[in-house]
Order: sequence, then structure tokens, then C-alpha cells
Amino acid sequence: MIYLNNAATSYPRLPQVVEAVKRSLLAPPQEPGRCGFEDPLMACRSAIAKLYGVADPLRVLLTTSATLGCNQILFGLPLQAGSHVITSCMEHNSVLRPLNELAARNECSLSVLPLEDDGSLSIDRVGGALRPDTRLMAFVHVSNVTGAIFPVQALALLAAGRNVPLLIDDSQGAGLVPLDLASLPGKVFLVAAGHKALQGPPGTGFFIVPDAVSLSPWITGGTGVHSVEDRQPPMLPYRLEAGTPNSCGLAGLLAGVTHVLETTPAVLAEHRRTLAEHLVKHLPSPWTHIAPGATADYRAGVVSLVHPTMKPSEIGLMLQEIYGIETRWGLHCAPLAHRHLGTFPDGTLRIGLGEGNTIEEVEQLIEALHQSGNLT
Amino acid sequence: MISSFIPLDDCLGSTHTVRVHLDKPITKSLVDHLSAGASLKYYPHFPKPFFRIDHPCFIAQGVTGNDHFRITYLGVARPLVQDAMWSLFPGTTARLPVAPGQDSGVPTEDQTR
Ligand SMILES: Cc1ncc(COP(=O)(O)O)c(C=O)c1O
Repeated sequence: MIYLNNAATSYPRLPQVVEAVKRSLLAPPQEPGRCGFEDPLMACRSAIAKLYGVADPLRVLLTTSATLGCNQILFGLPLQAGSHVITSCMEHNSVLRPLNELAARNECSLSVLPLEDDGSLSIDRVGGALRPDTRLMAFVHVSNVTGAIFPVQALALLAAGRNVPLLIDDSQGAGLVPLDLASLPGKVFLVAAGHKALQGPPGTGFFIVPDAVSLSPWITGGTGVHSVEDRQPPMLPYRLEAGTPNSCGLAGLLAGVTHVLETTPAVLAEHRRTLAEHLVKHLPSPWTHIAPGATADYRAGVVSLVHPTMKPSEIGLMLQEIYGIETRWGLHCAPLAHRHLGTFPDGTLRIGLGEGNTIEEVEQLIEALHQSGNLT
Repeated sequence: MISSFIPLDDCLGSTHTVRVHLDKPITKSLVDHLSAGASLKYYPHFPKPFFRIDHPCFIAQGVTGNDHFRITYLGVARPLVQDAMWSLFPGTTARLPVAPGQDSGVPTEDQTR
């Protein structure tokens, strides 16, 4: 099998991740506060904090998905009825659906901004959408549909200038396109999935908060400590983490993040970029690809392909069944992106290149795209 | 005979995609049987021969040699597709999956699981 769906979930798993999960499962249970051992999740928080230049690891909250982090942030912020939120058409449903839920409950109104013709997000356009009642800006860092990279630094400056919190969905950029949160002004929340370039097991994710007080707990319950309190304890991480954690998954995530820190995001991204550029350069006719913005920055290794007559689902099946090549077809949980790009409702055939892929595999994909895309 | 229908999550909305699992590998004569009254496109030049059958109420695609193929149909056509599967594969008792929000008419075992 040639696995080219790394933008969904990284595969094959790193041996050290598998080993860490196994070790965690075989060791006596070590859930924090529940058995008297030192908090085993602290190392995971610390590694993620290091990746993002965050001084206090307790600002890193561990979850089971980026979606859960998004919900905690969006439902934990004080977005009173009538608040205005600015977001983009490139967002994943993990941001869009909770926002739509809030809008449906009349708690906010949304401005969903399109991209410019060259595929970039215009800071001027975002600035123009700001209103006196804007209470949040929510943007993806790297699009899971095209691999486009959004200008987070400029977004943070803009948001900070108007005292508006910024939510960044870094699920695709984590471990590939560095973000130094310490250098970003204002109130920045970041959320990411653990099972993509960070190489963690599925069912892992995290979010990072600017302080201990900006969010109200969205999920409340057991923490294993401070049990006498009748409400959620006020301090991090307990305030924003309730329930027994996925400690074996998070042990795997720690191994994955450690690997990323040692290898460096620059090296990991360069590998994906090389493969993606090779694919784009040698893309056989009649295929086209959707460029990831004006700068054609392929660090995320995401290449979305379009065929003029064949549906992505049909070609995807052919690649899978005939050649054993796993890709991802459809809308990739980002329906507005496809409406904007003109690829709705069938979506695109997404190639998600990963650490384990080789140029030879990309060559095989190119040949398979040529054969399957030129039926007579 | 069909041993099972596995719903595939394709996130595409109104069409349903289901993998049909058979009790034996697909042969060219089975492909011909499936394409009676339908239009067949057969591509023997691929590393594994690929077929696409455009039936009035579903599209079937797959490769010969595998023990499964994929069907795609509009949600509203489910009863017709179910009948077609039963008549094409006599002895089959498996039922097509019911998509969320779709009324099967009769509660099936698949639904209660
Ligand atoms: C950009 C983006 N945001 C959010 C998510 C959701 O991640 P999770 O499944 O961990 O909630 C994904 C995963 O596909 C993604 O690509």
C-alpha cells in the first residue's frame, strides 16, 4: 500500500510512538492525581509548550481532538448574544460547526471571508470586516484542503490592535510550519490535532490558552484532585480538563512531539515540500491542482487535485483498488472551502504527503494518475 | 452471494456509497452478469482490470479478483438498489445500511446494532 492520506492521519506510525503507547498501557495506571505518581502528562505539555515557545506548560491543555479544543474555546469564551465573529471560508467543520451552533443560538453573527483571487487571505479584508462588536477572529493556520498558509503574525497584530481574541486552528501546521506564540501579541488561543504531522495516535489533541481565566470550563467533572470543591477547580489544567485523560494516547503524542522537536519542523516540512513540488511539476494532463495561495508554499505536503470530467471519488477508488494507493476524496470536512474554490459538491482528490513517503511513491502516483485519468 | 454491505463515509451528502462484500472473488463473468440491462465500461489494461457499471439506479465500480466492489446511489433509490442487489445475488439476506435520517420503513437488524 502507498499511503498518501497523511493530512488526515499520519501513517505508518513511528515505532517510538507505538512503543510509548504500549509502555504506557503496560505500566501501572498513572492518571494524574488519581494514584499518587508524578503527573505523567506534564512531559507532554512541556514538549508541546516548547514547540510553540510557550513558557508555562500548564497553558497547554490536553484533549482527545482538535474539535474538542475548538468547542472548549468557542463555548468557553464570553461570546454574549450578538457578538460578531470573523472567520474564513477555509475553516474545518471543527471550527465552523461550533460557530454555526453559536450563531443558531443567537449568540453570535458570523462574517465568513473569502480568499483573494490569488488564493491568499487579505489582511485588509479582515481589517475591513472588524466591527465594534467583533469579539473573536478564528482562522486556520494551514488549510487542510489546499495547504495554503495563513499570515498568522499579521492576523495576531490586527486582532491585538482591536483587543479581539484570536483562535488559530493549527491542526495541519503543527510540527511543520512553526509558530512562536511568545512573539504573537494579544490574546491568542491555539488548537491542534495530535494525529497528523505530530505523529500522535488518533484521539489526541490539545489547545493552548493565553491565561488561566479567559475561558470558562465547558466540560466539568472529575479531576482526581481538589475533589472537595463543588465546582471545577479554578487552576490549570484542572479548570479546562475534566475526565480521565487518554494517557496512553498522550504518551504516544509525547513520543511524536519529541521526534518532531529532534528532527525539527523545518526538516520535516522540507521533505513534504520536495515531494509535493515533484508531484505538481510532473502532474499528468488533464489533471490540475489547486495552488496553496500566491506563494505556492508546499510545506504542509497537501496537494488537492481536480480532473475535468472524472469525480474524485471515482479516481480515488481506482487508485485504491487498482494500485493500492490511499488518498482522500471529497470535501475534507471543509465544505465552504470547496464552495469557494468551485469544487463543491464533489470536492477534490487530496494527496496528503507524509514523513514516510518517498519520491518513488510519488512517481508511482503520477503514473497511476496518468493511467486512470486518461480512460478511453 | 453478498455477505455484507459496509457503508463508506464519503462526506458527500445525498449520495450513498456502500462496499459490497461477496463470498468469492469477482470474475469477468460476474461483471457481465452485473451489467445485464446496464452500461458496462471495462478496462482490462490496468494492473487489475477495472469495471464501471452504470445501472439505472446505482453505479458499481471495482476490480476483478477482489471480493468486494463499491456501489453509489441516491438515498431515495435505496429500496430499488436493495431489490436489484437481491435479484442479482440470489440467496442474499444482508440489507443495505440505512443512512442517518433515512427512514428504512421496517426496522432492520443493522439499525438496532
Ligand atoms: C484544519 C483542521 N482542523 C481541525 C481538524 C480536526 O481534527 P480532530 O479530528 O482532531 O478534531 C482537522 C482534521 O482533519 C483539520 O485538518
